[in-house]
Amino acid sequence: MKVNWFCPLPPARSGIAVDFFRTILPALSSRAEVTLWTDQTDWSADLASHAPVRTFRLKEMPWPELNQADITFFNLGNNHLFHGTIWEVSRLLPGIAILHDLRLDDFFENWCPGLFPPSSSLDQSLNNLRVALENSLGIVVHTEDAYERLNTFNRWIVAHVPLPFALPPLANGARRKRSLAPPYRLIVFGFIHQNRRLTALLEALGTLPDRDRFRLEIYGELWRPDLVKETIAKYGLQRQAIIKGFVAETALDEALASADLVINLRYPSGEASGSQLRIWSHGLPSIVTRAGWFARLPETAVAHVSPEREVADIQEHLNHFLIDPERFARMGTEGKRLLYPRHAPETYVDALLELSAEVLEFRPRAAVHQLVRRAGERMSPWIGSFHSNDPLRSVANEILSLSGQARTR
Amino acid sequence: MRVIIATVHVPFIRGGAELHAEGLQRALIAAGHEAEIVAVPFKWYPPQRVLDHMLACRLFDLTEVAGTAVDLVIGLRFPAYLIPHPNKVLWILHQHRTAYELWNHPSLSDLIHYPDGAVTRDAIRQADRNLISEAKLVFANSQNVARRLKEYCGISAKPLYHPPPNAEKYYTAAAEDFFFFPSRICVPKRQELVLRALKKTRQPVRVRFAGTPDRAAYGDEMKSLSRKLRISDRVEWLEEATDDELVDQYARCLGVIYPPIDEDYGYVTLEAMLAAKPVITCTDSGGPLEFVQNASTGLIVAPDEEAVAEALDRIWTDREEAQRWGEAGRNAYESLGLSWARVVKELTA
Repeated sequence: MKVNWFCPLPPARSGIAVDFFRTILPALSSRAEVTLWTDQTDWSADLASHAPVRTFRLKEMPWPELNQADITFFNLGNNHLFHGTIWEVSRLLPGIAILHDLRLDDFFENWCPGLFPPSSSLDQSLNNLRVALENSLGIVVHTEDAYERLNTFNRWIVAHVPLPFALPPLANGARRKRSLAPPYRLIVFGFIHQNRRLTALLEALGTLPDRDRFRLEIYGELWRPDLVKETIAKYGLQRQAIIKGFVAETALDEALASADLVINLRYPSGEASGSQLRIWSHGLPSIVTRAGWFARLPETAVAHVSPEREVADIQEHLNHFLIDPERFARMGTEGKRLLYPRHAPETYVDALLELSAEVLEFRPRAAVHQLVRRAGERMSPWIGSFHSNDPLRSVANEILSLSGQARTR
Repeated sequence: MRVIIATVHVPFIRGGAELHAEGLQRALIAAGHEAEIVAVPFKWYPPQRVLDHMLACRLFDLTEVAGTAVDLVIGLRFPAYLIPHPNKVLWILHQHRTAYELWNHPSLSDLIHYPDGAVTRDAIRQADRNLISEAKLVFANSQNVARRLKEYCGISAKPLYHPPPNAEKYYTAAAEDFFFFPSRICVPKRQELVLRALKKTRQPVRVRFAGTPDRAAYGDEMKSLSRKLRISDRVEWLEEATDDELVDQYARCLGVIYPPIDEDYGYVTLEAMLAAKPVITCTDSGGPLEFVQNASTGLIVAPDEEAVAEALDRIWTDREEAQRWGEAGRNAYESLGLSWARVVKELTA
């Protein structure tokens, strides 16, 4: 299958370019004839060993070349700097949108201010999304929640495909054996925004009677370092909680390789998490929020925390950990078992190609859907003067006949 | 029977398809039927317009006129052949070619240049696959068109040849020093190839073109090209020739050059055969290949300047062979047994 692939390309400072795309590119290029499309001025030279890179300019799109492919994928995320022009092309060329965020509110606000109503609710965000993707034939999402919400529009072929994840080298090979003896190493990592509930975790740890039997290491950028430090000081956790800050990926993997438990809370947003896959790749147990994508993770692989009683739940899990660390270790093993093949890049790419085949079968009808809209527009000036529905029924029937569908009575 | 011939018409463009419909109408009337041509205007761009026209055709009601039933609809061209009728026969001249074999053609492609081209192509193909089968019989005007229907849509169609217009008027006369190339002046007919071949002939070959350009600018472009190639003195352009003048040119020419790109049928070949003239055509010319026999009634050569030049030189220098091939062509035409009466019999069976 010939595939056009619109995506921010490395070295763009985008998780989609660096993590997601890098993860699936080998599988994608081995299973399909891929052309990478970009309007970036530079990209990593090694990409050429997987697929040709072609540049585009919105004003001079090479449609004949793009139309050589069977299907086109557009990777869309919330950052207008990386996804603005990709979205513009997707509005013209019907294809499959890979939706990395369900709410593109920031994207719309920054890329095309005023074009969409401000979204104060999820419903409004989804409605904006419906309009923004009206030219799409199919959509790929990474969470069941997003899948269910988008399917209610009955507008596209939607596929829920679990995020791909490639095992880091350390997780593949020899790994230091965990101590399973106190003090146990707890880890929080990633971009620590408010939704990562770090202050709640610090409160839970700070008020835990057995707090000295844990060490908490915090990796990544903090949204408010002052607040975190204040909270650590407030609970007197200077010895137990250490801010490590941003570290290289390899350093993080080394830390995870010798950790005992990861705290990966998300609330209120709970999008599919590459971090969770990384945790599982190390065979680590984790404490997660019972919200969004995380809520559907099996209890055998994670320990859930209810948003409304998170401090108490965290403490309960930590206490259980002290009593039976082996039970938590088994959660990590189960998580790793879930990771493959469910999140394998090859599985992900296979799902994309299966969706493509389905979309190609549906594509003739997409043009007919546009015809419905145009017919409605043309007929609207005199539509009120009909004495019966027969003229409308007649048009509807003939549109159905063009699309190969059965007629109505 | 009251018969409607359903076809399309691109305003201000007249070619073989129009003559075909008129010929069929005359033949039906001659056979005692009432026959009327219903020609739907057609515009093929932007792509969504094609779908609009398809829907328009589906909404036409040709089942009766003023209370009197229309007994038969004969559909000829896309999308007019989609017009529904309980007793419909198709005699397909061609489908929407840029959705099929011309989708990716280097010079004749169209839909592929639009972002919604692939979606439109798929919709056209789906409609053809689903709706052509509404007809009780499906004929194609040539083997070439029948082959495309089978290849792209899986639809079997019986090739049904017909005589060219004014077939009875053709005669032959002594060959003069020119090749004749009658056709609309446009890219698919490949006048440019012939001009470039003329530049490469070793003999002082002359070509007389007859036909109007689809676009005036393209006609000017061809004339300008002949000047640029410095062959203007060996080229003539007869833009407004009458039918009788055309017949006369066929009769007096040395041979006919006709190298179109994948022609559906092509009257020119048959007219040349009627005038007992050899035909030079190309390996990718489609319809003419069903009639020209290489080195027997003409020459079939590669679609490149050198090969066409060589063919022109060969016929130019060997007049006796040219005459033999021309006569063989006329005999071959006779053996085809083409007649409108047979066409009408098949279509109204």
